[in-house]
Amino acid sequence: MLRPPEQELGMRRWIGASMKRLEDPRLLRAGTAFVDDLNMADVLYAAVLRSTHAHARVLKVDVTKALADPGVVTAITGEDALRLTKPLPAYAVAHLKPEEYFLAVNKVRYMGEPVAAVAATDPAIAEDAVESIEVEYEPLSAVVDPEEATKPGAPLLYESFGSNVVAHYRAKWGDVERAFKDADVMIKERIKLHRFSSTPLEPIAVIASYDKISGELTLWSNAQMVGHVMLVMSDLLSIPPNRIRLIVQDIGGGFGLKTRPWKPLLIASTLSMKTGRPVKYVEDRREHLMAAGQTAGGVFDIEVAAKKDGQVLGFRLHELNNDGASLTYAGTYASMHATLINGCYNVRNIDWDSYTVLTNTCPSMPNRGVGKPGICYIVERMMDFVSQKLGLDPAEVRSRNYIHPDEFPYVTPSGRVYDSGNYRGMLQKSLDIVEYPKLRTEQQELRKKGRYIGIGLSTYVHGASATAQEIEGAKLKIDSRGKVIVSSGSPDMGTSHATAFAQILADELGVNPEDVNVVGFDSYSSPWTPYSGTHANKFSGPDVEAVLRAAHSLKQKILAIASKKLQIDQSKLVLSDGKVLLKDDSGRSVSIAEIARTAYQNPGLLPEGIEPGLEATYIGNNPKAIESFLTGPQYEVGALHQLVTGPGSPTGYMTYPSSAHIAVVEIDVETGRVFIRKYVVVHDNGKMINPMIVQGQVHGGTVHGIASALLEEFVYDENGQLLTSTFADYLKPTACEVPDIVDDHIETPSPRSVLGIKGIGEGEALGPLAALANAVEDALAPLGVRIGELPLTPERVHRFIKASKH
Amino acid sequence: MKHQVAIKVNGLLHRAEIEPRTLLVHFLRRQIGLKSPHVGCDTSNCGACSVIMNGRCVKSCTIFAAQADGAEILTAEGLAGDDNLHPLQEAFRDNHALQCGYCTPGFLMASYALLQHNSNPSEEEIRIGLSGNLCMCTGYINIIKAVRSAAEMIRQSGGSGLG
Repeated sequence: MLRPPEQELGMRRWIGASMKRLEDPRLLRAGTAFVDDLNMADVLYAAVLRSTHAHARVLKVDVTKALADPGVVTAITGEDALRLTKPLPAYAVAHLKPEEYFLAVNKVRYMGEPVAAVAATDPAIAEDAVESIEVEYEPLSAVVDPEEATKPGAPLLYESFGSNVVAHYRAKWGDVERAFKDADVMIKERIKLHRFSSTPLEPIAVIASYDKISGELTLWSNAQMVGHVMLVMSDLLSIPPNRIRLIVQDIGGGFGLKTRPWKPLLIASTLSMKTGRPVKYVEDRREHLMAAGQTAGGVFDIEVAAKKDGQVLGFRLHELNNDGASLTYAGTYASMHATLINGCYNVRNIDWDSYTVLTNTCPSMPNRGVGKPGICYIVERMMDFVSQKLGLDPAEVRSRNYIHPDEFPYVTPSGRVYDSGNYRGMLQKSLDIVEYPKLRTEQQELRKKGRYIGIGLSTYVHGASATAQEIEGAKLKIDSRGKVIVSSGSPDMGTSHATAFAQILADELGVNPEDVNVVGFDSYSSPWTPYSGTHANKFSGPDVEAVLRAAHSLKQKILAIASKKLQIDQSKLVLSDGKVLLKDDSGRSVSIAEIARTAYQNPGLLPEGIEPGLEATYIGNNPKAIESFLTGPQYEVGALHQLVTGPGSPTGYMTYPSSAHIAVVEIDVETGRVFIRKYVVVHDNGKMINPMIVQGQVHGGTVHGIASALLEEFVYDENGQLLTSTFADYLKPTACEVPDIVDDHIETPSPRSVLGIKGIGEGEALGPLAALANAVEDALAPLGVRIGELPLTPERVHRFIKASKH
Repeated sequence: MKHQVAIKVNGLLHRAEIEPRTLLVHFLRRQIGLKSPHVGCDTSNCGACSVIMNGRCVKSCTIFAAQADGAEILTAEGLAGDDNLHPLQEAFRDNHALQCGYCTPGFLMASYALLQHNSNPSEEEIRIGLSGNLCMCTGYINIIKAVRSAAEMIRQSGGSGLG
């Protein structure tokens, strides 16, 4: 039995506590239900044949030899995809008609694109069979560089599009011409962003089981966006949603890569529809790295206008975003840059010209923060460019430009409305932790001795609690033993939903957290909406708000029933320790279990107007979320976006957490090795439901960011061959590469969320790209080194040093 | 063409007929029905498949089941008693050293092996000892804390935690 911290009856005791997780005993004992843990007697195993070319026509696919093995039950090719499904919908792009199917039809456009698939009685037989499929390709020239892809004569991925440029967003906010006229200095720089991924350790996996008699499709999946999956699978397979049963239990990490796994879902489903048996498909690591998804990379040209006191008057940002080979998510990274385009700063004169181009590389997919790490990188590098040009301290320059605490709610140039923040306070706290003035002195002394240490700042806002229009469902039931079952529309992916919900309900309903069972997602019984799923730090928004409102509804009912039983006025009663009792704990009480028994078993004893039962469903969000987005839609959105949200761009987030990162590095100029001496994070997530869990997310996000700044990079050769298709080449950090992360926080509660929380998840993955680039550039300033690209591997840093020496 | 093996897993002897190419991780998951050893990569980099074989930590994706013939295997399922968790599992929970739980069995077994070899490892030694295991969620900091804490717990109880 968990003991609550001592506090006044009826006050919040569990929310805000670092309670140990309820999920852990089961996970530690391996009582898990990851997709590959599930088995059925008659299951078949799928294996996928994937393109070895980055760009080629597919002339012939011959599965005869694969079908020769008695263990192979069936095989499918692009012909089946054409016949049984429709093209994959585009999320952001509206003006082009999608042509991509889940298996290649006529063409392949990236190495690793699925071409055919088999279902066999044994996984090894399936793999063997795939190897015997014969494909005739006519190789085409590939284009991997985004700038090359825009040039006339570049190989076209989709001939019918006429161009590889598939999205163009253009906006001019404020008076940019005036800003440049009034400026004392103008700085011009080019910033490059590479492609990386958070690579969840559990690969994408699905079991699909189509029942020919009932016409029902059951999917056991580790997909994050259950609402999207329900609508898209229904649409593409022509099965009504009320006959698709999507079950999501344990997910071994998502980070965005499991939001839209259309191809694996469709491969397993169509194989099951053909065979009438359940089909299990579990991708391997190589497949994941080739084809599951990567961040969009890009080339960004920025011109900044500033006054000599460090005030940034405005900037022009020209973007070329590389979204890989598919239209499915293309344009979303770019559109998200508009959301945080001015960062923490009161910079209102902005010229934004953003292109999105396709290349013969892995399609883009959301990855921890999506476009937010990119725009944060650009803006935070800009602040350091200004500091360098003017010979001013980068902390000073940031401070000078911050939005002030009394300027909230702050309407950004792009029409988003920040809820609250204290950026200067946050920065100051981080400067105090590193003892900034002492560090600068130390830096000077060490330079005289030929040692190069650097300090890099990155302060930023992140959008959280999902976007204005997103809603979620929560269903609560209290049984006649007083125990609670919670069903949410969103699956957990290591994001501690069960513990957080239990803490909330312990306070709201006076139950013990261990008496709360949060069950997995099942579309037949969970209260899902098209928005349902875990992404964009959504949990702290509609997920929590829906549970709170459902709990409130139950609480009112419990109080009404208890009031009649105890003959005490409702206003004098509170819920605590599984009972309804007087606020001062004098006199009589009644257990919640007793209330539940009355509600279910003795409805005749219920008060007037109170219906039997003790369960509540709420679907919606906090109405204040709509405050977060002032202006109307700015640009068209694609079919998938419309399917889920209706027309318009909803990327105004409900809450705006913020963070300050400081990286202190030392560079070994002989080897180019970047050694992180200290890494400080001061984060502001408003109120926190469980500080221990928030800290875990801070660690995880920071390490993703550090790894993308120093280690991780997807590399393609000029023929579009992925050179980093294993964890031996695509470098993930181990316990040896992670610095001591010193974290602290401030709290500016959100006025929009009931609990004042702002949320965490993507959070700290946004900061390190700039913090480390700024730190390394700062360290090597005496050598005149400019950081043009990432990651800052020893080889790259060494190259920069060599290039800069006279 | 099948091969006979007899492998003791968590104290129970299993006899089976397998294809020679069967990997130990697949034998444990598919033949025995264990869930804890996980496959996270193709190149033995991630360590999610780590188990103890004849007292040593091995990556079961890089061992053929045939090589484990006659061996004794310990997996995360074999760590806890019926009513309580192993000190390592307690320490992982106390220190929030897991989020999604996918890498956790591998870390538990690698830590188990580390502490058998070195009952009082320094932080540096823990980092090195766990460098064969990848985690995508936690950033490792709490895992390192958990192992230190477990080492302390085991030492205080007279080193009996590794039975």
